[in-house]
Amino acid sequence: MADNISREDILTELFNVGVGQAASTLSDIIDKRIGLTIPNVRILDAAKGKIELNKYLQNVAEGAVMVSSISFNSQLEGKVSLLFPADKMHHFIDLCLHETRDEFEDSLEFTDIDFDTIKEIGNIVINSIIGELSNAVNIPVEYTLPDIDVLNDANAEHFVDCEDYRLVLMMFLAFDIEGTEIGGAIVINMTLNSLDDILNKIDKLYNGR
Amino acid sequence: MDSIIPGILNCINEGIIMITEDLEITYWNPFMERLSGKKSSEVLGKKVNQVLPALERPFFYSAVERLISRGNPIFFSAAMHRKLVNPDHRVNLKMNRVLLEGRSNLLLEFIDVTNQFQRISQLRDYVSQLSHLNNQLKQKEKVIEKLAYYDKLTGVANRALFDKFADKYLSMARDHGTMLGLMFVDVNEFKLINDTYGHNTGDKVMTRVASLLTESTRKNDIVCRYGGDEFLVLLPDIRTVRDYQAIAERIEVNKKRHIVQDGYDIWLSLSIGISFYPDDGITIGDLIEKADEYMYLNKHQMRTQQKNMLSD
Repeated sequence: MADNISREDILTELFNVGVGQAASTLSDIIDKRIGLTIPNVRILDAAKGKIELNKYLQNVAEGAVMVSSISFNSQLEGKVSLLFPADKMHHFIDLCLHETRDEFEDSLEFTDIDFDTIKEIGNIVINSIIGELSNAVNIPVEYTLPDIDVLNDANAEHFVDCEDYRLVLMMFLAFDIEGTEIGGAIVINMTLNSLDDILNKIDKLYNGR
Repeated sequence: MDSIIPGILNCINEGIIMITEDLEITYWNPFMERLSGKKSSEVLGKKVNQVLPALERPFFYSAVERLISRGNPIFFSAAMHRKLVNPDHRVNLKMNRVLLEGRSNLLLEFIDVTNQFQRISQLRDYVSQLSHLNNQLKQKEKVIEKLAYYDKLTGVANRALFDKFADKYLSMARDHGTMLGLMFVDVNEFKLINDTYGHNTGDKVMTRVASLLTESTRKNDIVCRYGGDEFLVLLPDIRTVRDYQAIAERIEVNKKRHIVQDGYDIWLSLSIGISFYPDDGITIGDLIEKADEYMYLNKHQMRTQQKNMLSD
């Protein structure tokens, strides 16, 4: 248990370094002050991961989410999903694009332009997280550009696969654009072997074991 | 195979640039010439950030650095980067690492999405126009409803609205076993007011009576202008005599009084009759007839009282 806590703390530190760089890149691109923080990372088995994720989906996103996801393979195998509450996304995109649209702000209809905007943000955030992890443990990770989707009635089953993937790294992402906060979630669904590889490397690097 | 690739890249409807790790342009396809207006011969060997100044930014340098070290693709959207190539074209940019003879080269793909932006902008304009028209229509509907259901002079309900509510309130009283009150109000000597002070002042007096009745009744009661100087008031959900008395007392205070209108001191008095469902009738017609009868009795009593006072 004590090992778990220290590993989760190390992962939290690592990912915060990553999202810090992502925030600085995004601030440069959209020319606005951006804050990105991950309060904590939790390593959960698939069943607990689903419970936690369903809480987020019901309480924050009310079931509808915009998802940016990539699958990765090579030495590490798994899938990363970056989730945002869909009803907040028009406002979020408008803030990024310096635009104002009063009409249909809460609608779940998105254009290709909206999808491309989220694709870029997803690419930057996921790159920062997986890149930092890959660098820290020195295991290469290969992936493509994120796929973007809007799920109207999402539940944890969409993101956590019990059969092939056994463990979940779950973290919440606080996105702050000039005072407007949007609560996202990141789910990394990994094979047990992949996560073992990462945790063993972390133990060696940080605890000397 | 290597000899085919430049031929393919020349046919592709995407702007393709190849650059070295130190950003030097090694390939610039014909579509890129059309997008940028710059010939391949002008740009080969130059730094990409000098040829396309929009790329001379920290985010681009850090993307190049990440791409060289990790090899994972990078995407920049036309929406967030408005003038990547030139102000007239909206392009998405995809960047990939290509290893050639052990060295990293970067492939930059510029995908023209200008038409997409134009179509979406047109759609937004249509939606905005539709929304504007829809708002205008709603406003007009409100005006039409006002004209159809409200008395033009006094602003209270007209007979059409009265009929609508009368049926509804009568069914409610029947279903819930409550009483429905119907008040018949007549402005005494209104012809004399018109003849003495003029029709303009008479109209204003009528509006004051409508306001007086509205202020004295409850939120769900319906005050209706029934004829020239006659009003009907529907009083739903009367459960006890006390419910009615509270309203009657408020009207009684204002029933006989002096009002000042257009500088004239006018004596205003109202004759009122009230009937109740089910005691006085079971249809609205019965209730109006009965209330009218009681109103005339009240008018007669008031006249007698007045005569007695004058003879005393």
